[in-house]
Amino acid sequence: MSSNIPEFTEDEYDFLGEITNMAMGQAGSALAEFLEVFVELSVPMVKIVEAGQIIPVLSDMTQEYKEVSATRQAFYNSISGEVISLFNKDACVAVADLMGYDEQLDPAKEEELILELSNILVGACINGLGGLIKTEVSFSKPAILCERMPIKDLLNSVFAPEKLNWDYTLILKVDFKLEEREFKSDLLIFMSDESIEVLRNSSDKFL
Amino acid sequence: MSQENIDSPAFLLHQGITDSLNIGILVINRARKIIIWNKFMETYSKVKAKDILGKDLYECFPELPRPWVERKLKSVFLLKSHSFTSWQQRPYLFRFPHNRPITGDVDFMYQDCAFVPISLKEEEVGCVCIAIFDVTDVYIYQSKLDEASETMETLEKLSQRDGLTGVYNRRHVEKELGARFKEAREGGKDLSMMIIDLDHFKKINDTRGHLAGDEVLRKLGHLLLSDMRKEDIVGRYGGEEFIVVMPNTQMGSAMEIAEKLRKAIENMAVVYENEPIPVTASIGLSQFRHEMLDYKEIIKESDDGLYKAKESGRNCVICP
Repeated sequence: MSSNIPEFTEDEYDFLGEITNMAMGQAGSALAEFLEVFVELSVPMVKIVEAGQIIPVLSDMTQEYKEVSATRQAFYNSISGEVISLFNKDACVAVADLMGYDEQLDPAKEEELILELSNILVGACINGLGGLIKTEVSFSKPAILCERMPIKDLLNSVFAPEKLNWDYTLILKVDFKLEEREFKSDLLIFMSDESIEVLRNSSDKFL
Repeated sequence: MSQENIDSPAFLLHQGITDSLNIGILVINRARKIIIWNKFMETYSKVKAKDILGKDLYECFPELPRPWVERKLKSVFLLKSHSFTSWQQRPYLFRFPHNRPITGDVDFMYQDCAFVPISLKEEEVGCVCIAIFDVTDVYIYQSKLDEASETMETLEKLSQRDGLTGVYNRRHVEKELGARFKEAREGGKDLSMMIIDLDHFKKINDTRGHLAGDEVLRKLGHLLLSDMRKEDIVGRYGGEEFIVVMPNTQMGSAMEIAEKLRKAIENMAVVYENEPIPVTASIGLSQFRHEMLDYKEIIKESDDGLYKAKESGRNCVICP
């Protein structure tokens, strides 16, 4: 199995890191403009992971979270994949006013808000990525994975070994924080075979 | 459909396709004027395209949740990205009738919506296309699924419980005991259990009637459920016999628990038709030992203890 894993050169990793960083920057400023608040970004992570290692790698990447709410959303076209968006458990409450939800947050509103937020972040990030490598991307509608669940339980249920029918995946991880608010979100972008090739080819053109 | 370029063949083809879709298509421009209103929208809203094209969306449909729609539009125009709504959070955007008047048991069409940015010139998002999907069938299937899983859950619970006393039935408690026995044998864990038998229960039934007997059983069931620890497994073993499985418990603490329970039963106030019924119980206790090969052996030993407790004058705990 491991012989099939594509090897990225250091330059290619740098390239991926760089375009992810730029896409995240665009997403960050779009979000800042939309919410009218300052968005803090950090350095994205780029990693190729084997199926068997996915839980420990993700646990390591998401150490900062205890309980999370999460969504998933697919994107497709010449690059395709899935994004899992993680939010700290009180993220909804922290941004309700910015998103125009001044009403009491009942469970349906909270779900709507979290879907809206992840759709915005995913859309901005993936569109940014698509723009940089000059390809259009389409999106499926986002769906709730869990609400206020220990991150460990989420990872164990989503990545239960019997469900994994792939060998390896490329993970791009970006995170967003809002100034002076209890808001934190991580996007875990997963891409496989063909999309990895598309990214690699576009990096060839750039380098 | 749109008023412009109405004679171009390509436009007519697009219009034909848009109108034949089983999806609602509504396009509005930055000024919130309606640009496209397809057949699906005409049919369900009973509003003709020719009457509203070029007019303000909110003037035509004042019942729309304006602040919410605006928020959606703002994010699409500004972020140049799709936005979605799901029937699970917001059942519909336009309140349309549904297609299942006979078999539906629903009041309106459940809708998923996609808000799609449309760029007419480079870069700039000129219009937003709102696509409305009829997902009433999905709603109905989901409700049936939810109902079915609730029923399954209730059935599963009912099938484990004794109807009169609320504690587990014999089948379930034996299954649990079997599992704990295996853990004790293979995992080296402690395990104790006891059988509780009401003293002179037949006399209560004979003198005060079977309903009085039932009341005693019900009370004892409640007492066991409230007094035993969370990890203990409480079941009804036979007529007036109850069983408590105590995982991770050595004989010493099991003895204390049993003795405390015996006293609690003695002090239990059972009143039937305004007259108290005095109740005591005898308890047989046993502990897992490695020479036991089958969970039935640990039950047998509790049973022996119970027999001796009855022999030695009842209202006592004995470990053989």
